[in-house]
Parts: sequence; C-alpha cells; structure tokens
Amino acid sequence: MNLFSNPEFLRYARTQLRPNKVLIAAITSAVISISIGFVLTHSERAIKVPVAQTGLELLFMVFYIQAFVLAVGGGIACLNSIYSEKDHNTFDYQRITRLSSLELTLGKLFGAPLLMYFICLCFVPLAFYAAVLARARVSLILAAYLVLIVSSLTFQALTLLLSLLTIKGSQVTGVIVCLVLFSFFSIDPHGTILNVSSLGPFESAVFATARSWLIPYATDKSLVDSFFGFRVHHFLVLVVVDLFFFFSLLLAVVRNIKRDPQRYEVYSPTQSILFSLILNFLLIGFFVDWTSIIDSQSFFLTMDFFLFALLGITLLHNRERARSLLMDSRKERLWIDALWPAPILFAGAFLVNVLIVAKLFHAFSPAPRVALPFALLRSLAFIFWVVCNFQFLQCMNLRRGKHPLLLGVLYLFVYYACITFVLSSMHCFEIPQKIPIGSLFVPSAIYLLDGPAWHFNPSVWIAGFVIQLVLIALFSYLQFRQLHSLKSQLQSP
Amino acid sequence: MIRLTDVTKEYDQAGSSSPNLLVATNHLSLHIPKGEIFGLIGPNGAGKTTTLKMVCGLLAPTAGKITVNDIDVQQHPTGAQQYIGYLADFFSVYGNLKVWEYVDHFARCYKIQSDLLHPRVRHAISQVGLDSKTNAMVDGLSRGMKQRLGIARAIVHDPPLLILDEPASGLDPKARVELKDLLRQLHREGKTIFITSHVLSDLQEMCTSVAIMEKGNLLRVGKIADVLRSAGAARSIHIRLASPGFDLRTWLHSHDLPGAAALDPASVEFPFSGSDADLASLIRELVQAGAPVCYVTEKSDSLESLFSKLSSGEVM
Repeated sequence: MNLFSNPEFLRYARTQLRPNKVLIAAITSAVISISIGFVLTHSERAIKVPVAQTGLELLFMVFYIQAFVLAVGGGIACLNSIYSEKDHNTFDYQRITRLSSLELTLGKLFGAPLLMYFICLCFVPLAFYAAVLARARVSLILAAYLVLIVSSLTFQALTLLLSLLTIKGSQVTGVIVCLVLFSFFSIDPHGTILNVSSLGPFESAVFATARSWLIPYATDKSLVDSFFGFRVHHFLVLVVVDLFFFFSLLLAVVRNIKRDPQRYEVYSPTQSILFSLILNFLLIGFFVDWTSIIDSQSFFLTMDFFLFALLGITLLHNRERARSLLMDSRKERLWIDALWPAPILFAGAFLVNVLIVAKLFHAFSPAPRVALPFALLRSLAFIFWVVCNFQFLQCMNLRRGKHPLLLGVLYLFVYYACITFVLSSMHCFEIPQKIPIGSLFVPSAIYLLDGPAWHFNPSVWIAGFVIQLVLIALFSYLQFRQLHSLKSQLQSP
Repeated sequence: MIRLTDVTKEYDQAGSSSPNLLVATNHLSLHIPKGEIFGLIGPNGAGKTTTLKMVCGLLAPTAGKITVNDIDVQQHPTGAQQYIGYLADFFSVYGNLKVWEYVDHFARCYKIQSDLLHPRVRHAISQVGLDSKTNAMVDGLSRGMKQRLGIARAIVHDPPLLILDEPASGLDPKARVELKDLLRQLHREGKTIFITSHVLSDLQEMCTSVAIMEKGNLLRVGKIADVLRSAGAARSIHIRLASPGFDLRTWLHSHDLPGAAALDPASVEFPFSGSDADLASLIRELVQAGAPVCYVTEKSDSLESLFSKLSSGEVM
C-alpha cells in the first residue's frame, strides 16, 4: 500500500485539502510572499547591495518561514492527531481495522500536517524567485529541501509519539516539551563541547544560502562537522542523525499505536539498550572538549543521566502490566519480577560506560595508571545511582493512586533539590575533605571522585556505594511486597 | 463464534486508596454460537463495555482467553478483528467528512478490494437507509442518523459478527424501532450480534440469548426462556372465552390447576408450570369440553423484573 492509497492519509487529504481551505491557504501565502518579496527587493538597503545578496537574504527568510510552518504547524497538527481521536472515541475504530500499525502511523504522520505541507508548497515560487536572484546552486537548494523535510518529519514523529503516550489534558505539557526540545535542536553548539552544528529544520536556510558543497570552500564554518576527528559535511551528518532519530521515534509509535493504552511499552529492553549505545556513540564521536578525563566523563555521565531518565521511565511497569505479568507467570518468580527494571538498566548503563571509558582511555593515552580505576569507579557509582532511583520509581509506580509515578518523580526532585542546597551551603562540592560526604546523598558528587578525593576519606566513599546497594535491595523488597499483595488479590476472586 | 474462558479484567479505582480492586469482569466464561443475537445486560459499571472491548481486542484482559471464530484475540488481534464490526457506546464520527467519505474511509481501512469498494460502500449506506444523505456532511446528521452511519461503518466489510455497545442510547422511539428492524434484518442475513443495552424490553424482543452481569460477575446466561425459567420466573396463562357461561375456574381446578383468578366473567389467568406440550394438551381438552376459547396468551416475567429481582438478591 503506497502513501497515496493509505486510507488515513486520504482521510486527512479529504478534510484538509477541500477547495475552500486550499484557496484560503494559497491566497494568504501568496499575499505574504508578495509582501516579503516586495519589501526585501525594494527597500533602501536592497538598492545599495548587490542583487545576489538580496536574493540570499530573501532565500534565507523563505526557508525560515517554511521551516516554521512545517516544524511548528506540522508538529502541532501531529500532536493533536491522536488526542482528538481519543477525545472523540474514533481512535478505537481505527485500532480495530485491518490497517497495520505502520500504515496507521504513516497515514497520521504524513496526513495530519498535510495542510502545512501545502502552505509550504505555496512558498516555493518565492524561494525559486529568491534562488534565481541569488544565483544559488540547484543542488544546494534541493539539499536544503531534503534537510527541511527530514528534520521536520523527525520533529513531527516526536509530537506524534507524545500525542500517543500522554494522557488527555496534558496537551500543554506536550507542547512545552516539544518547544524545549525544538529549541535544543536549534541551538548551535558548534565548537564548544560538540563539534556539530544545529540539527533542526531551520538549518535548511544555511544550506540554501551556501555558496559551495566543497568543505575547503565552505563560506560558513557550520557546514563542516568533526566526527571522531574526521571532517564531515554537515549535510551528511544532519541527514544521518535526523534519520536515526526519525526511525527511532517511528519505531516507538508503530510498536504502540494499536496496543491497549494500559500496556504501552515505548521500546523493548533490547531496543532501549541499543538506542542508548548509538546515542552515546554519536556523542563521543562529536565530542571535542577532551581537556581532562574527569571533565569529559562528567559530561557523558550528565548526558546519560537524562538519557537513562527517559529510557528508564519507558521501562517501568504500571499496576496493570504487573498484574498481567503475574497472571501470566506460571511459576513463583516474584523475586525476579521485584528486581525490574534493574537488570536492563544495569546492562544498558554498563555497556554505555564501557564505551565511554574505552574512548576516554583512547583519547588520553597514555593516561596515568590511577586514572582507569577511578573512571571505572565513577561509572560504577553512576550505574548504582541510576538503578537505585529507578527501583524507587518502579516501587512508586506499583502503588495505588492517581499519579503514583508523577508523585515518585516529584519526591525525587524535592529530595535532590533540597539536599543539593544543604550540601552547597556546607561547601561539600568545593572542599576536598567534604566531597565524599556529598556522595552519600547526591550522584553529582561522584563526578568529583578522583585520587585525592578518594584518599581523603575512602571509608565514606565505600559507605556511599554500600548505601546505594542497600537502597536497591530495600526498594526491591518493597516492590516484592507490592507484587505479593497484587498476586494475593488476583488469587482470591 | 465468541468464546470467553475465565476472563478477568481488573482496574484500580482512580484516586482511590481503598484496598478493593475494581473488578470489571471476574473469571467470566461465555460462549456465543454463530447466528445468535446475544444480549448482555447489567447496570452501569457491571463490566459490559469492558467485556465488549476485550472481545474486540481493544483492551487486554488481566487473565483468561478470548477467541473470535476460533482465533485468539490476544495472540492474533488483526486476524480476529477482521470478523468484527464494532459500534462504541457513544456517537463517534468524523464530522468533517461526507457520509460516503466516512464509510469509504473505513472500507479502505478494512482493505476491501478496489473493484468491490464502491458497491460495498453504496450497499452499506443503503442498508442503513441513508441513501438520501450520501453527500451530506456527517456533522449535519441527526443523532439517529449518526448511529445508523456508525452501523454502516461497522458492516461495510461484511463481518459475520457485530458487537454493538448500547446502540439505542440517545435515540428517540422512532429511531429505536428503526434500529431494531435494522438489527433483525442483519440477523436474518446471517450475522451474529453481541449487543448491550439498558432498554431491556428491546433486548427481550430481539435477542435469542442473554447474559446478566453485575459487578463483573455473570449471574445468568442462556436462552431467554431458560433464563427466566431458571430464575423461577412465574409463567401465567390468560384465557378468554367468546362468551361467558363456561365455568373456567372450576374446570381448571378439576385439572389440578388451582389459583386461577377471574379477570372478568369470560376470562381467567392462572399460573402454569408445565411444558409447552402440556399447555397445548390442556387447551385441546378445554375446547373439547365445550369452552368457546377465542384467546390464549402466555404472560411471563419480563427481563426487567427478573433483572431487578436478581440485582436485589431476591433470586440468585
């Protein structure tokens, strides 16, 4: 089934491309195009600068408008697509048809923002006019459109996933999350920590106005990235990285779109681990700030904190899922279930840290002999903290209540915020003798674990590790009790 | 056609901290053969909608197994769903489509062959009597028409099984009668219908079998007459003579049928616990005895009264 015969795509085409809507969109876009074109080519400044320069400015602006329409307009359309279906109870009708998950997802992904694509198309004549004025290279204009479409699709896939996963009423949250992520992708961190330019759809304007494909002649530094020390054209990086995110997000939607909402599972454990490994591989590849082992590792651990926070939440079981697993399991395996999601998080964090530590020692070769054990210790402490926090959240998620997981996250947030204030006021992150004490309470203290910090008070560092292990065991025991109580209820109808 | 084996579905009551679970269905076992109109009866919160959604594969049971046409719904949802036409318990349509576009959309979703697509869409619209509204916008339809459109959507792929959740809710009396006729017609065409409704008299008229649910438990299941009988529902016979003069009460008393009440000089009503054959024999004897019988009718407890007895614990 091709896209144009996809029923969901056709439905959106029928509703969004009705003649009256199309006419209004076309007229509005034409008026905006003419106004912008006129203002830029007839302003006082335009008369003073060469025509090609005016053309470039116009081209840049048109691509920005198109990126805005596709990313923001299309993103909002995708965000609303599944919400509104759930609201109107029509989503169940789609889930019960013979449309496969992939067909339904693609129909929504390309269909929901269809009007935005049409509006974007309405600005193509202005882009063409600007390209002629600027004497732009056709291949770069085509590349710019490819970037625009791939980046926008990635963003739309993200909003579609949010639309699927978040519950009614959290639309505002979804929009905020999208905007934050969107601004993140649009920030140009070039040259400071990561040697890669922006990955967002607005980058298409840079390609459209570039003068040459060739890296040595690239007028704009942002057209060249560095991956493991190799100079790579930003076009290639952008397309590959955006496609990686696009397919990862598409996979998450396809896996879940026809499932019972109580049993959503964003990724399988293997996919989660693979995703985190690839993301770390990309981060390491683009990383440039190899000034010291401890700082570089701290950066990766901080990034992985956010990554594992997201992936960990997708792995958690709610009561419904726990019940179903308990009903399905023939054997007494409560203790194994009570350890969830520790094994997966442990395996994922372990593999990621092996990758990080290996790269650190390659980058800092020959490193001091004592550096390796401390890098491993920091990684190990990070793994324990991640596992411990998620054992707590899993335990909370099995509690009865309206939003137990949200409550768990709130408890953690309040705890870490308060303890960080207290430790900061006691200068626990500055005075070397006090650093080990911080490790008893917050994970950020482990970033400061090195030879001198260890030798000040090794017993406190060891106590920090032991406390984490004890807490993991405690939360697993509490989880065991929750599961046991669920199982008892199930066995007594 | 449908088989539920030991199906349990449990929820947590949102915001509740009480130790009790909300058991939507509690070890429910049910078999609905082909060609039945099977009614599921119960008050709000009895677990009817959950049961229907689980049969459709829209909700996963906490435990148990559901098969549709011998296909495990949990294991092969798409395989099972091709046999199902489903209508949810409230109007849910795409208002910004035309009637034909709406039905056409779902026909395509069910992957009907392209050469059969248009005839099937036209046939489904015609079956529900919306021919005159083919090009109308869905938003402009009345509630009854929207419900018919929902049924058109459910039957467009010609499924052998229809699952209808409260199809009559919100409809005016005329629309309800039309809906009943439509369902009878679909049943005559060989469809199995699994239906829930609050209007028990409608179900009693239409259904071949019923199940009564309360708080996730199945209280009674079977053919309507059997269900009524199993609950000890009284069956009474009303006989009217063309003219008074024959002492019906005495005659019945002499045939071991005491308790007859005279409604007027020419008619009586009496409880009868025999079979249908016994009743036929009794009427024959009565006519042979010279009674000018002109009217015989059977009055039994309605589903409504049986349901109220069951739910109040009077009959268990």
